[in-house]
Amino acid sequence: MSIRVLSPEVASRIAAGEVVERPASIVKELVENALDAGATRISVEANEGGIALIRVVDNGCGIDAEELALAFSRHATSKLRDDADLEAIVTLGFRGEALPSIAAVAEVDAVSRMPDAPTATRVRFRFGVLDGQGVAGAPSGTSISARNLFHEQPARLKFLRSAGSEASQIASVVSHYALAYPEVAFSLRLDGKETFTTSGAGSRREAAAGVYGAGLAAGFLEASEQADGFGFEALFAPPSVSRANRGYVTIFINRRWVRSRSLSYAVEEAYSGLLPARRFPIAVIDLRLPPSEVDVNVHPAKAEVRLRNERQVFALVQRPLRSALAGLAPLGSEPMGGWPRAFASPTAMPQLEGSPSLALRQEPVQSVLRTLVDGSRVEAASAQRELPGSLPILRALGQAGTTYIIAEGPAGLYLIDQHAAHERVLFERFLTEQMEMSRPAQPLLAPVALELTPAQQSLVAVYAGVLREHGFEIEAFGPGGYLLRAAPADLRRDDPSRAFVELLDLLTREDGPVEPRQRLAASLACHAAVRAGQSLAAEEMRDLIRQLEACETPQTCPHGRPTMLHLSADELAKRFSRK
Amino acid sequence: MKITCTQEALARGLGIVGRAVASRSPLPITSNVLIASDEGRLKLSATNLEITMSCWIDAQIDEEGAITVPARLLSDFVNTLPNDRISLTVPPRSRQVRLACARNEASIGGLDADDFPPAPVVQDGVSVQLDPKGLRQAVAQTVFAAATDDSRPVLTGVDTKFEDRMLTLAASDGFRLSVYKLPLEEAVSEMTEIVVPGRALGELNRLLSEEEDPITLRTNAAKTQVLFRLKNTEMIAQLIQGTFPNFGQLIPASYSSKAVAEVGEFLRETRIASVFARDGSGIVRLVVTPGEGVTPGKIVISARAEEIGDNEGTLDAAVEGEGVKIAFNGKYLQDVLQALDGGQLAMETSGPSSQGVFKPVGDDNYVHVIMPMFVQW
Repeated sequence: MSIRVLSPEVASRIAAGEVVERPASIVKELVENALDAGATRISVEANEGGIALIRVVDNGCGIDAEELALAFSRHATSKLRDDADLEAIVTLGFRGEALPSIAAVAEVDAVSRMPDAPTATRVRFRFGVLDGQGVAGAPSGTSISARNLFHEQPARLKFLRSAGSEASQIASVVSHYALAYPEVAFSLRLDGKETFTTSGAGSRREAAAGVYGAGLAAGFLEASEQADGFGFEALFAPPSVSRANRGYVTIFINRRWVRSRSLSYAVEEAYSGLLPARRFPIAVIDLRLPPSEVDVNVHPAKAEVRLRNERQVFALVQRPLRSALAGLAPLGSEPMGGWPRAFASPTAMPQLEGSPSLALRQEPVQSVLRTLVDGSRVEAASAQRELPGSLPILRALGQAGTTYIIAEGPAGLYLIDQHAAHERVLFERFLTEQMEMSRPAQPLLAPVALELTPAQQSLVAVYAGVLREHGFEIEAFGPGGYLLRAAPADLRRDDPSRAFVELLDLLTREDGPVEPRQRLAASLACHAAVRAGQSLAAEEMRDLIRQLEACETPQTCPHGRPTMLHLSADELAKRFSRK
Repeated sequence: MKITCTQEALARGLGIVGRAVASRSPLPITSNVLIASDEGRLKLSATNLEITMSCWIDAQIDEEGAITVPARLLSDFVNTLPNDRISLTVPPRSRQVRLACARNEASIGGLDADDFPPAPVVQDGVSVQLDPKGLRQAVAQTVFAAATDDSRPVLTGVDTKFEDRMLTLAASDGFRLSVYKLPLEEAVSEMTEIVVPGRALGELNRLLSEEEDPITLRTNAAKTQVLFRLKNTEMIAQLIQGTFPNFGQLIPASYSSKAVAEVGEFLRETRIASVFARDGSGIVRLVVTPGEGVTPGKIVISARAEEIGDNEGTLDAAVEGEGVKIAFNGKYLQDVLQALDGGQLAMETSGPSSQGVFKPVGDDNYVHVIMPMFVQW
């Protein structure tokens, strides 16, 4: 077989495959062009999942009549002039590949008018070949439509998913750009039906409402941070709202929608311990970095980026998120709504206007509530100590099913999972003790011989150092055999060898923190915590709640399960038809 | 059945056998107590299938018979009656017990005595006479060291070994070890080693406090059961099967530091320190300092609760050898000091990571070993 150079048509179709993988990629390229053109209104239309028709209309600066046809030839771009520009890319597109690639795989009709031009110019391409050129009447801006996508590439057509799935991809692309550009009004019509619009008023929360629904978006939290050339803004759901897959973390770098495993991970890490197992956060992260810090020229679709200083950016994302999340109220609690006022306010006291005791009675409502709701515990502790983690003062009322502690606080009833709560308490204690290197070990009178499976042996190898820090002294003793010489001192008083093997099993659990130290601490906490079904004395319950109050993140156990449920006073009143 | 006895005797008897009543058993009859006439006395019996307790009280037997009734109900009822004579009557072919005392009458429904698990016959094994006071002390100073969770069943028992003229009791939970040697009046016929459940020995010790006469310990031939016969009471326990670890090698033969102190003072300071040690794994730190010239030696006992506070107490001690720093679980320390019941004790050790050995001064029969904790000083 002889070797020959491919004809330009074939070559361009091959290249087109890199940019135009599926209808959604066309939408992405066209929307990016519109944004680069400074459009403030972009409407996207797609029929049959974009295969029959994709049309993107913008009100941007338009393309000059002479240049419109040129725009469809390979590596023709207005966005980049020389090599130096490549170092500081500020536009979304720059490679000059999008339009020719689209033109290569569809019937493309482009109409464009610059604001001061008298008429619009129109060009038509049929699968890469110029098919007509002329003058048309149109509003200023650019309108590009692509029909019969992949008509000449049956192989690719075969690999496309159903029209519905392609349409949802398109919707995803448009909604993400709407999030990144809240100041641009987007509209999306799928098969003639209006499915999504944003007003372009500049509010990201509003754009988020269009994407995630108004109810959810209203509960989103915000965080932002600025530091020399770096900027960070985030809109994210509280841990009480989560999703079953990773697809809900959206990251924009310099307003480009990118996929970055490390940054997604930074977001997940910020939620670590707050979400249940296999649940993922919802977040929109808008990063602004100096153009020189980002290399977007990794792949023609530009969805992957390289960061010059990945660790720094990681921290930039994670830190503000984490601190915003750490200070949240307990799971599911509502911002307002304590016990009915008749109970909470000191109406029993005579109202003596101007009397000297008035000042006393006007202490902050919170502390009045504490006094009334929890007379026994108002002393020094609650009055002076600033409570971390914003857990309200709780009073234990009893235990349900020897599993849950029933407690009341100023804002209603709380059900506390005794195991999860104790796990959290121990987890944080173990971590601090570990930092201070003071986990005491209790050696055994005689070492206990253990037989470990190969999987357990490899765990021992991985965690050897951390296990020792925690008080487990273990040494190899023949093939597969180990001697356990000491166990952590505060291990529940049961068989240390069994505890050790149980711990190894806990380490293989899928959920929970990943970092070995935290992971071991979480496993140890799970092992040492009171179990469900263990009955607790009133004193023990009080003590557990007190310790939980002192935790940094009291709302969840280290594996992410919630430690408590909140039944607000309002909710109770509603259920009893008092409201 | 028609039996008459005093309320006092019946209440006492029910109190004794009540300890063996099963609390949650799949066999309902085991939550009953057996009442029967037995050779001119009234026999009360209860079992949880691990321990069987029987007690005989003086009674007037007008008509022989046997019945079982709910133990809790009967004992609650009898306990509230005035101290008068009680008559228990069961009409023929009936299961209703009629109790009459003073001006009170009650009727309690029972279950057939034939359905009550028969007490095992324990004979043909080793049989020993024991002094109740000596045995009581031996049990009290060992049984607390037994394990309470049953992951290694043999450790929940007390190793009981008869050899020649010596009874050796030993208990360990893997972190501490108690060994008590009790001389016997007579040599045993053959060396016998059994593991008696700690719980059974605990119950035995309650009974022993009022016992004056020597008691009998007997096993069956297969060494699966042990019988303790007291004057008016009998306890039969299932023995724990398995080999108790060889503890001889766990008691160090030498030491580099020995401190002798008053048990009472030592216990008080340990208790105080334990208050502070409650949060931090119960770590109690001991610093032993030898005396110099006229200054006596001392033991400084301290504990700290992280971010809350700390405590330090000092007691005088005659220190032999070098000074040492050693940390123990405060609970283990308290347990042994409480069991020692006054006097002086010697604490021997060879450094912060070697065993602490506790012995009462002037008594070679008892040794207690505690593994120290590895802590940051």
